[in-house]
Amino acid sequence: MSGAGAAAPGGGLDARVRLSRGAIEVDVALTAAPGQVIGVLGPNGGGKTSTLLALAGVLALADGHVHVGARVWDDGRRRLQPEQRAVGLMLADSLLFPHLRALDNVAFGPRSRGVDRHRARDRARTELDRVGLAAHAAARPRELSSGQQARVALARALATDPALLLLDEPLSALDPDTRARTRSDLATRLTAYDGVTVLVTHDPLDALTLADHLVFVEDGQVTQAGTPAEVLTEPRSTYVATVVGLNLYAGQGDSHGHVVTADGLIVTTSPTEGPVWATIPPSAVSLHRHEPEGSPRNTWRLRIASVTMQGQSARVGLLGDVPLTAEVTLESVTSLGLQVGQDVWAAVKATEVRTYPR
Amino acid sequence: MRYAARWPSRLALGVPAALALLLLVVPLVALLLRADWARIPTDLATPTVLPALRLSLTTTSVTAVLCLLLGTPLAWFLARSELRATSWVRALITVPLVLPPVVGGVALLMTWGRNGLIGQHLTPFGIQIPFTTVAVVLAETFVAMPYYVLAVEGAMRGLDPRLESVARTLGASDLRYLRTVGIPLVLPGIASGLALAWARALGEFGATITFAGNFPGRTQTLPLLVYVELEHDPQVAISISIMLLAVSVLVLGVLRGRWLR
Amino acid sequence: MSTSPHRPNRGRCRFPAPTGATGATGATGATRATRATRATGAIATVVAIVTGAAMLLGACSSATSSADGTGQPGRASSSNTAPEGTVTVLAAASLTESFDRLAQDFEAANPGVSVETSYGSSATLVQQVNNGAPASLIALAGTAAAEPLDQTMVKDTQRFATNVLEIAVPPTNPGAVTSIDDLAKPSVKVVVCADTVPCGKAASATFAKAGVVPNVVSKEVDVKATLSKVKLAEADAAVVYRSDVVAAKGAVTGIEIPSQDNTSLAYPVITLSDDAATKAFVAYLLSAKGLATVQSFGFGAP
Repeated sequence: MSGAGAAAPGGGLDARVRLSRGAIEVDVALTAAPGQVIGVLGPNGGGKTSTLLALAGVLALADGHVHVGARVWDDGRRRLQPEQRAVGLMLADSLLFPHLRALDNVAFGPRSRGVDRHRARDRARTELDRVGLAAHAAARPRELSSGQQARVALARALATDPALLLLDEPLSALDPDTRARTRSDLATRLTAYDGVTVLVTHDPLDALTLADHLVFVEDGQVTQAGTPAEVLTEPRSTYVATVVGLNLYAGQGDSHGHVVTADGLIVTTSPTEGPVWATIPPSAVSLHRHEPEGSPRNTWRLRIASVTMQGQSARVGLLGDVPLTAEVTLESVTSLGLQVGQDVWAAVKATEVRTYPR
Repeated sequence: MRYAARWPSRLALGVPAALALLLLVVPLVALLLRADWARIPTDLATPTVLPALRLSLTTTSVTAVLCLLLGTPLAWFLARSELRATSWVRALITVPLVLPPVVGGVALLMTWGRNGLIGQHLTPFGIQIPFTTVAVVLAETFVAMPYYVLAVEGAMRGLDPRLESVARTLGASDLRYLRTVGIPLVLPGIASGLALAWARALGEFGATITFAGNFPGRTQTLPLLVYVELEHDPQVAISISIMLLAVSVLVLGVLRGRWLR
Repeated sequence: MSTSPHRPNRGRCRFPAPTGATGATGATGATRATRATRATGAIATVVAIVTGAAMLLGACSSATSSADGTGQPGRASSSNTAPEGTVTVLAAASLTESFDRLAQDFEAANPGVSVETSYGSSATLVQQVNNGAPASLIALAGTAAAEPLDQTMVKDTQRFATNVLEIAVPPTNPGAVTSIDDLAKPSVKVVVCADTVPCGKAASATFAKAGVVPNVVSKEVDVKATLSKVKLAEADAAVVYRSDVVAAKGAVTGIEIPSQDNTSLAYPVITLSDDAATKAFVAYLLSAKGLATVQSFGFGAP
């Protein structure tokens, strides 16, 4: 978790967003140093966008605070209007002003903040150049590709020198090909930006490639926060585990390496006592027609619920004492004749099971 | 068999449909048939017509400007508000749409008349509204503004509200957003709202004659003149009616493609 | 007009005058054309159809002849056989109050007769009759109004009353009007009838005779609309018929116009039916008692 109430580092973000949005109560704390990119992930409808709009000042806080650098944007009682905040907002499907040329879209911010027309346009040209669109300054939004529109939207959000840049699913409206290219353009541009960026996404790839700190928000609450490396190795919720591709179990550990879960027993060589999380990488699961013998300490008889292809491997969903996802080669699928509804033996070496306190 | 089964239902729908069409179209055709086309230019040039025409054009133009200046912000508040009270306000401004205009005229008298709610406070300053051109404008605005506000509100509701959020984070105040983004994007809606409101104002009769009276050059608009001329020289009344019909058709032509499809 | 002074319906069948049909546009007597043109004829046909339908639908009750019964039948009706049946009376709007009383008295004196009255502007009534509306007799404001009437239907014409113009002012008289000369003051807002309707023509004639150019702020479409502007105190003075001032019952104050300037209007009653009941009603109207009743509502002797 982020240190609630801690003073924001010079120019950084210190925020605690509490508000009601429909059925969910949002309570999300975020801190970041200048130049940092926070990736906010979570299922749809979990409060990610509400958090972002509260940071922008579009939604009011019920409680909490938003401090950016030395400035108080919102203390739960009084709040600055969006136009009074040094904030940049970029939303899905870009939302350029359709009647304005690309240049005037980007110049809109500086103009609104009192910069004269000439200097605003100069600034807009610079920003367009930085996203590689200097040649399209005179184009109307509908004449640009969706990727170009996204870049113009980024240039527009940055043209006002925001201390806080808010990106809400900036790539979700793009087709996969454009998406990869725009993602790298975005990454390039963000490295040159010295303010705090908050990136809301449900795409783990966006988050892992663009963010240096991740915050998971589910049902309005932060379920996990940390660096991508921490999150990848030690997920703390089913959603996070799914995102990073690990099997995750909550259980009770003892010093002998036993983890008792609600469904069954898991054995590990790295014991942790007390309430623990246990993870099993899908690639560490081997499948057999007959009960395996020898070193693997974890063997379960499970039923195949699903088989999906992923490149040269297959993911096999298994149900039984310990629900499990296995990643096996296509070869094993054919040699074992794996079919949905079939019972198989799953084996996991105790050395592959990681545990850490819950 | 197939036809025997189909024709009765065809008739059951076709006959009332044809009747409905006739009820709507025949009066217009009758008006055109009654017209003495050769006389229309002279009729429209009679000394009573020109002041009425001038008055109608002036008052409806002022009404259109009032709708634009006052109605646009109202439409904007209605469009962006999520309060429950908003639907009540919307219902309230819809009332003049369905109110008999003569009732509107009575209501205006009760408001701006010498003993009216507001009028009584104006009287000490020597300001009297009834029987003046101002009264004509008030009557026309009363009946026309709802058309404008509803048309523009509809257009504004069609805008993505996130555009406004983005504009505001870029530093735009409400007014700047409306001026630079909101209004330019709803210009077609504003245009059709203005055309509707203007046409309604041009045809306004009941509220005007009740509230503003009937005085040539001051409060006698074209529809009032039609009514008076019908008792004096029906042919002139028909000629003016033809002109108003032509204007209505013209307005519909302007709106075509937006409202008619 | 919404303020048109329809009297309470004393259980007697009243046909909706065109006032009701065109009420939404604030119009009364849309067919008060002095010339029977094809256009107005067509509209009058529609009005007549609507009115005719109302007559067919109207469930009329004559069970209200419970007046004091002091009224005596007129001389002509004191024949050997008491008249029976229904008398359908069409009368000018200005006669509303007086004819309601006449009908009531007549029914009390003739239990076998039921009087049905319908009021409207004279021109409208004439068009209705021309278009076949059933009527036993028709009473009009001004002899000129009778000119478009289909003369083949006329059995008899008699004058029974006159009406003169009068200035109506609000009871508070905000314009301090005391004579017709005051209507020329710029501070006095005057409403008159439009030049196209009889009361407007009469007012123009009167102002010409008096040598007064009034400060007219509105030319209303009929006399009741004109009067209503004074009732609402929006205008300082209106030129209307004396009978309208009487009918307003204190809602306005009347100021007389000297007879040398005034314009008088004669009211004819035109008999359209030969039946005994109709003759009896006309005779009652023209009797001393009938004339006295009419005159008690502000009308003058014929």
